[in-house]
Amino acid sequence: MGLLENRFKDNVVVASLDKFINWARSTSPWFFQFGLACCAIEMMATAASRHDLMRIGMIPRSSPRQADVMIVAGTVTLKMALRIKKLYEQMADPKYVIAMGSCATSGGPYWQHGYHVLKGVDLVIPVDVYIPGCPPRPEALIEGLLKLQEKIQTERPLTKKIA
Amino acid sequence: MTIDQLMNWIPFGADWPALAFFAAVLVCALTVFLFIAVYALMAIYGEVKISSFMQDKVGPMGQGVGFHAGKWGLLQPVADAVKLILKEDIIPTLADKKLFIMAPFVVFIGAFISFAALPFNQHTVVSDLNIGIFYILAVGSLSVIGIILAGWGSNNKWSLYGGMRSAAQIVSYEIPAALSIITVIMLTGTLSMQGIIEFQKGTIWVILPNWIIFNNPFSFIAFFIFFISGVAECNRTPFDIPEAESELVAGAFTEYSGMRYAFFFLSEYAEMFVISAVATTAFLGGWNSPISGFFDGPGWGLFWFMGKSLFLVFVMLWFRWTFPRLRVDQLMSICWKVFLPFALVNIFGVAIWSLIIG
Amino acid sequence: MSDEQTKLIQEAVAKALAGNMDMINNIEDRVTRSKAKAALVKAKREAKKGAATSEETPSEEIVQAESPPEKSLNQKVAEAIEKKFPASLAGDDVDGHIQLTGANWFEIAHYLKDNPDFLFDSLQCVTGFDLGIENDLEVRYNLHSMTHNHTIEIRIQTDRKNPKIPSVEQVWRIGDWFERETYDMYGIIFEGHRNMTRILLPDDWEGWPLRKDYETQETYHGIVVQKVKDGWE
Repeated sequence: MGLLENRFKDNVVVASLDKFINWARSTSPWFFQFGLACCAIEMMATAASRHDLMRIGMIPRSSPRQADVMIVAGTVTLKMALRIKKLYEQMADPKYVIAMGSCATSGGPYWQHGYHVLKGVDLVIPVDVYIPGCPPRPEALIEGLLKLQEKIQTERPLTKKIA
Repeated sequence: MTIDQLMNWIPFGADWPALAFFAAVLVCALTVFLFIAVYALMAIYGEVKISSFMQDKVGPMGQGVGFHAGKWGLLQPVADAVKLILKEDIIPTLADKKLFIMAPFVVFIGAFISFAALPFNQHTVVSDLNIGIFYILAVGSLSVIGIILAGWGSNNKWSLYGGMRSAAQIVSYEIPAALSIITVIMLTGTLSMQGIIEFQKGTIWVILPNWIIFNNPFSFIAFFIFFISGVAECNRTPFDIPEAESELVAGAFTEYSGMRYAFFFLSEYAEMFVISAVATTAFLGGWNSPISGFFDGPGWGLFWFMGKSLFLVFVMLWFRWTFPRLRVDQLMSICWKVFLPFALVNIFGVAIWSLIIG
Repeated sequence: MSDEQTKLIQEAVAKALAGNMDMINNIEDRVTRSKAKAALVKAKREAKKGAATSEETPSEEIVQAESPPEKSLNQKVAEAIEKKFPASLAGDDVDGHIQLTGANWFEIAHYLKDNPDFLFDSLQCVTGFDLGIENDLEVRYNLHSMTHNHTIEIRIQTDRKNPKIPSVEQVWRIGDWFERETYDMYGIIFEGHRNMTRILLPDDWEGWPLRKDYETQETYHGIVVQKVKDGWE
């Protein structure tokens, strides 16, 4: 959005346009399926027939450039953490990150003795929604995604930020 | 004859013919582009919904927080399109900038200009070329250049692999497709699209419409060869190794984001429609009604043409979720070892049939 | 266990030993039935031992020049190795495993694989072992033969300060990754290995994690590794 981002003073037209843009972005969050470990199985289960991720508009994309949301599902090792950083930087704005499961949130069951486990993916990339669980049930993942949609809908992309 | 009609319509048509021609072309192009855009939105919605139903899922349902994508998720493709337009435009630093930017447009052009010869109706063709079908086959190959540009310009070895594989596949599958069209041309004796459809008026044995698919057992097979080669030309499953997710991330289109990616998407659906339309025209009777004599007017003609083409598009979507993906060597061996001999046999068969029986 | 149950079980077991399994199978309560079956197994084992001991004595009396009892596989292998490569065995007790010095391990491995009596063609696992701070490191190999269907374990100790063992990657190709893993976790260098690099951890990791005296490094490329540490709070 380059030139238009945060440029206009707040008024009814800009606010409505903001709402429209937020609606578009929250209705079709294409997710970057980044399944690393057991939480990936739950993510696949959520995308399957019984709990359907497509009905809230999420379509799986495998290239980071075409995705909006990166769902980090599974244990992140330090070796992988460098690659996650790279992939996050390859995603196109506006991008969001969901840390799924306790390993991505804070290191999970390996928090104390895991010498090669990254204690929470928010040490390398900024996270928007944390979903606790080991692994979180599909319903929990869907709740996390709906929270993300709520979060997207509170943004003001066009409005000039004060100060 | 739409361009000619438009030119007669335009008030300054007699004085400045060049300008009138340009204006007429612009109007037609805009109409076709709008048609492609609307059709693509519908096709994307259809694809997501139909594929979901086939997988016992429900697809985009307009569920979620706040005002969502309407009942049954009807506004979902609109939201997708708006979101893609507003995405950041990323061009990799080491990418070949000119090629990278040109690629989506070249692919789109290949699909777009084929629309110029498609007969929607008895009276609605952008330009009724007397080499109609030959023109479409020729121009449909332009998209290959676009894909190679995309693969090379991304500065990414996986994109390059994807681009090369895709180019090899499309170029190989054009041969059985063209050979199947030759059987049609042999029967009708004309290259013009409207001419081919005119040939298919009337009935065989009273009840069967005189479509080329029913003419001849050889042309029956030719239809299937043409259709399957068409599916391969669109890089659709089961022939979608170039953009297979598990193989090459997104193939030639890995590095494209936002609107540029949307263009590739658009071109793929436009190409699907072109292939279906050509198959309808050549084999299924175009805008002729299946019950000859009834439902025959211009409005009905449009209905039949769109109905048959969209049905074939639906069959392409159906294929995607029915068949597993073919490996690249299986793909190529089917083309050269199975389709090509069959297509050649078809040509001889049709010729001999016409000589002896027809 | 109540008296009734005990009596029932004893009856059922007696009948089953005579050959009639119906009474045990007809016991309705699952717990009692399983107890009866366990008692039956025990009774059968006692009967066999009783029969064996009662059989040994007559045969011992009858024949003096009997052939010596069957040698176990481990003993056979140990004797063969000792014969071919003298001074390779590092211990006498060969019941559970065979302890070797690291000296001719490569040739011994070839011998074990090619000898038609043994034919150990499958290296099942290579494990590193830390015998305690101040003690040595050890490597254990589990070998299995597909043709003869027997297994054996071989252990080799090596010094902690400078651990080196000949590599058997050329003998069993799977040894490639197994040995890289052992190197990665313990720092034991396998001489002759064509690609002795870390396989699980990144190449610039410091330390050998599965040793007893391992201290996790503080940061890795700027990322803090430990979540809690003594002295933080």
